[in-house]
Amino acid sequence: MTALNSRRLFLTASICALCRPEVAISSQQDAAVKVVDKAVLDINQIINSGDTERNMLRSFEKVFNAYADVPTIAKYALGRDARTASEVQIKDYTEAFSSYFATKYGKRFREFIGGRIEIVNVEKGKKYYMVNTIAHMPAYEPFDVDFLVSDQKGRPLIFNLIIEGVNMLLAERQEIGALLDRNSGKIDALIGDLKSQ
Amino acid sequence: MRNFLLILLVLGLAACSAPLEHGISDPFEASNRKAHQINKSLDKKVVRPIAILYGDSTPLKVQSVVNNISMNFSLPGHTINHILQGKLKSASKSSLKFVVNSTLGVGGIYDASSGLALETQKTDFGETMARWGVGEGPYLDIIVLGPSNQRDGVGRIVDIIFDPIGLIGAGPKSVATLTSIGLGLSARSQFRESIDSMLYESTDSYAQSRLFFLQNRRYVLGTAQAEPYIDPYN
Repeated sequence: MTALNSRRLFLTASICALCRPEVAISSQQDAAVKVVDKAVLDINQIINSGDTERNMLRSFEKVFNAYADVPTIAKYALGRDARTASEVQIKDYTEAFSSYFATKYGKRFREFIGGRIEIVNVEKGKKYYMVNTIAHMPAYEPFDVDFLVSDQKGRPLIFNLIIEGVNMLLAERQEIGALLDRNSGKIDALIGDLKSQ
Repeated sequence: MRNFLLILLVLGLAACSAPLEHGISDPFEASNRKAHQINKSLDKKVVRPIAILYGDSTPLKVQSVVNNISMNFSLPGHTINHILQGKLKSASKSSLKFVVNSTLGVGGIYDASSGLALETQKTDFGETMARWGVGEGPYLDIIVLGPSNQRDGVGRIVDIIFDPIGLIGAGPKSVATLTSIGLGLSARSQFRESIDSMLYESTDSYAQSRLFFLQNRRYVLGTAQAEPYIDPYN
C-alpha cells in the first residue's frame, strides 16, 4: 500500500460516519476534511494538555494562523469600509484583528476543556466545503460546530465557524461595525481600539 | 384547560404563512435595550457570581447528575409538544425515555435508556407554534427570561404554566425546578468565557445577543431562510 493510499484510508476512517465506502471522495474534499482534522486534532490536544491559560491561548493562535484564513475573516468583518481603507491601514487592521481574534476564539475553545470535537460529516457547497463536527462536553448535551473550508487562497483554509447556527463571520461583522461606530467611522481609531482589547 | 384551548385556537388562527425567517425585526428596540440592561446587571450581580461559585465548588460528576435529572424532567413537556406537532413517533420515544430513566435510571440520575435509540430532539411550545405556521414576530428581550421573540416568548410562558410535571405532584415539580436552576447555573459557569465575551466584552452586547439568539433559534427550528454560508472571497 502506498503512503497516499494509507493516508486516504486513515482520512476515510476518521470521517466514516459520512461516507459510504463506495462513494469516492474528491481530492479537494479530502483536503478540506484534512485541514479540519488537523485543526481539531491540535485543538483536542491543547484543551487536554492541562497547560496554563496563557500558553493555551498562544497555542490556539498558532492553530488559527496555520489553518484559518484570518486576513479574509478580518476583511469581511470590516465590511464596506475595507474598500476605502489604504493598504497600510488594511495591513495594520489585519494585524490588530488577528491578535484580537486569537484571544477571543482561543478563550472560546478553552471552554471545551475535558471535552472533544468529533468530525461527523462533510458537505460540498458552491465554492466551499462544510465539515460538520460535534463538540462533546462532559456534563452537557453535545452541540454542532461546522467548519467552512475554501481553497480560494491556493490551499484549503478555514474561513468560517458556525456553532449551533451562530455564524462567526456575521458576529464579527456586527462587532467590528459597532466598534467602528464607536470610533466615528475612523479606521485608525478602530485599529487603536482593537489593539487595546 | 379552557384557557389553554383558547390560546391554541387564537394561535391556530394567527397561523397564516410558513415561518421562514430572515433578517431582524426589532420595532421594540428601545424597551428591549432597557430589558437587556436590567438582565445584564441581574447577571453581573446575582447569576454570574452564584453560577461560578456553584460551578467551581461542585464536582462535574455531581453537576452532570443534576443536569441529567433536569433533562429527564423536561421530557413530559417534550412529549406533549411532540403530540401537538403530530410527531407521534417522537412522542412515544420521549415518553418511553422518561419512564425508563425515571425507573431504571432512578429519577433520571442515570441515562438508562442510552442504548435504546430513544433520542429525540428537545422541543417546546414555541417550536409547536412554528410547526403550525406561526411566524416568529418581532424580537423581544424579556426581563429575567432574556432574548426571545414574540412567538417563543409566548411559548416559554405556556411551557412554564402548563408543564405536565406539575400534574405528577408537588415533589417532582420542586425537584424539576431546582435541578433546572442547577442546569442553568452549570451552563453559565461552563460557558462563562463565551457568555462574558458576548455580554461584557463586545461593543454592543444587545446587538450581539440579538444576532446570536435569532440565528440559533432559526437553526434549531430549521426555519432559517437566508443562505448562512457567506462567501467572503467575493
